[in-house]
Amino acid sequence: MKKTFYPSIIAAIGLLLTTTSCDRSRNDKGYEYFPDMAHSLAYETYAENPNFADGNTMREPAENTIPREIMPYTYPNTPEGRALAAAELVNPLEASPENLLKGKEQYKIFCESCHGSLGDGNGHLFTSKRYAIKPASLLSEKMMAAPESDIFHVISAGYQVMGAHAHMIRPDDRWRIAMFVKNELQANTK
Amino acid sequence: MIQTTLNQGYRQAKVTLSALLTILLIAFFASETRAQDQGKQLFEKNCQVCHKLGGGKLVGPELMGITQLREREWLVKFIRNSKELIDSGDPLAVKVFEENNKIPMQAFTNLSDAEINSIIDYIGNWKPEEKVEFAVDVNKKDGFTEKEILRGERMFHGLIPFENGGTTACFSCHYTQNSDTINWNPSAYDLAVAFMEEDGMKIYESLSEPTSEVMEKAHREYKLTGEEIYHMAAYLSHISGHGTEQFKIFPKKLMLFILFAILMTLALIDLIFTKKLKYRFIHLIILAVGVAVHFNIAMVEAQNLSRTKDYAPDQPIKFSHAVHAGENQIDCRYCHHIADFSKSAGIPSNDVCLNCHNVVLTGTNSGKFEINKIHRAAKTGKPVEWIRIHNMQEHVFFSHAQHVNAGKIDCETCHGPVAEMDIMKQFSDLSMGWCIDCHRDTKVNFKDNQYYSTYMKLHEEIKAGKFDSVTVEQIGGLDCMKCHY
Repeated sequence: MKKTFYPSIIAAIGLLLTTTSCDRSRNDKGYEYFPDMAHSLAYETYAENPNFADGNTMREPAENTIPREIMPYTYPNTPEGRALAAAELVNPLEASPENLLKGKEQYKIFCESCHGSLGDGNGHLFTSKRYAIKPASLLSEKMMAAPESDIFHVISAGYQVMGAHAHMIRPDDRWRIAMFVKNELQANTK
Repeated sequence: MIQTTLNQGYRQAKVTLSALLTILLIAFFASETRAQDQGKQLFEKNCQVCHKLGGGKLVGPELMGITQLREREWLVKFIRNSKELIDSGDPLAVKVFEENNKIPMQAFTNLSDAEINSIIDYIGNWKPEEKVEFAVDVNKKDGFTEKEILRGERMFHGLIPFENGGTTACFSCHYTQNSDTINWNPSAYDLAVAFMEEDGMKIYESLSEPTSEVMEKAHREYKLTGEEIYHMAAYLSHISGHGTEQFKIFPKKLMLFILFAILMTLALIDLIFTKKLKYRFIHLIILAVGVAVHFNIAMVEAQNLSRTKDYAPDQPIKFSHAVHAGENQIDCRYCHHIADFSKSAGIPSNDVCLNCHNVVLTGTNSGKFEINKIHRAAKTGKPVEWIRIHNMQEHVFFSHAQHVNAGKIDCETCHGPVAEMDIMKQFSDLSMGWCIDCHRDTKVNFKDNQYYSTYMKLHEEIKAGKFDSVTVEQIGGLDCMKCHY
């Protein structure tokens, strides 16, 4: 009796062995073993912090101060601000191949989705109908005539539905993008 | 006789006439509604991105009541080509242009006069929906009674039918327990939180006035009474403090472990005491397999201690990398824009989301609900509490800057096929062996990379032809103090 029973048990075990998987569900982090020095004693950048009224560890700079190495961008997102920035700002970088290459790289990351790889405003987000408003063409007459500082301003402060990118792209890289648009995208279409 | 036939004739004529009239009337109304529909569709397609009907200025000015303010002819001209009108020096057009930050309106030369008129008709006939007065305070401060909550729960789970129809239970879409894959519908907990918030939805309004097409379609048959909504609110306010229930999986490994423990005990007992089985090799096989299985499970589990591979928690917003990085082909570093010069890759701030989502208000899969969470967070200034997935232990130093900027490693190398993940998960186990393996094998781009220009000896050796490539190991990638200090 028992002898005939055994093979079926062994078969069942074999089946279980082949289908076995981790017991953890995706929401479960699992166990830790002696997590000495594994967790930070200091509050981490994005963590909650009970010591501040708003509960954030990240602080804003004290009033009337600016963070080190950061120059605030003061030209407002208005037609007057744009004209003023275009007239006053000067590109501190020279149009070297390295700078243009970095500009191309940054353009690919930050601009191409909307303005397209050619700069004609046919980026993937628009052509795939995800984004309803036609992004501006960087090859229009208006933009062809605009100086680099004008492009720098629009990247920094935004224009119409385009948001300000000053907090996302560092100033030098913004100049490099402007340089790339002027020296390569626009030059190639002339 | 004659009289009756005459009567019959009259009757027939009457019937045909009235039938004709009804058909005409139906046709008339149908065409009327069709024109309305056309106007609505055109408005949604062309205007809605910049203009709101009721609710204030967006990019362009508010359009409610514009038909009383301006003449129709002027409106048609302005919509057709506003720039032409402004350039021709029309004082009203110039005034409107200057009032709106000199942002020109797109020209709509592709629309016919009839189409533009249908849009204007739609705007003219549009009325804000009348708010339904609600007798009971849904957002009650002093709490609901247990009975009210229980009744609400039963309604939510479809155990008590609704008075005015609606067959599917709420919880078949608005889940109360999460699952292994993503469910795009807002969970019951999500709804509850939104309803409770000041700037969230008011439960009554959102049930009686759906805000998106998907929602309207799904909620068409539901006409809830005030009392039903009151009980529903009671239930939702109750679960807003509880969160979504976590799904459980069957613990196969544990069961296997226990099964073999029992089998091995039985085998041992039979081997030493009862001796019912003649053939001893059966006992030995069971013992051998059992020990192997136990060791295997213990080893795998011990290795996984403190490692969170495949950890994929539910995030506060159902943000899908598959949609953003996959379908939309947005570069990883657009949102994680500090990855190349910072230790952490950075969690994007609300501003980054709003760069696109000030225009994109409806998601591909989730409708307006998930995107609305960003708008609420931006409005209240309350940060979105994302849950951290990749977490290197504190005694290890890891910097994204070094790997992304100097090393030029692709994001996918460590994070896996992120562009296919609806729910973000940890792809690599982030163990020390994993780090070391990569440091042993990876060749450094030594020649054209400024970062490595100071390694004089290695450069000379390469020039001398001793080796043609340098691995991370050769530049100290295996030194203890590189990562632990």
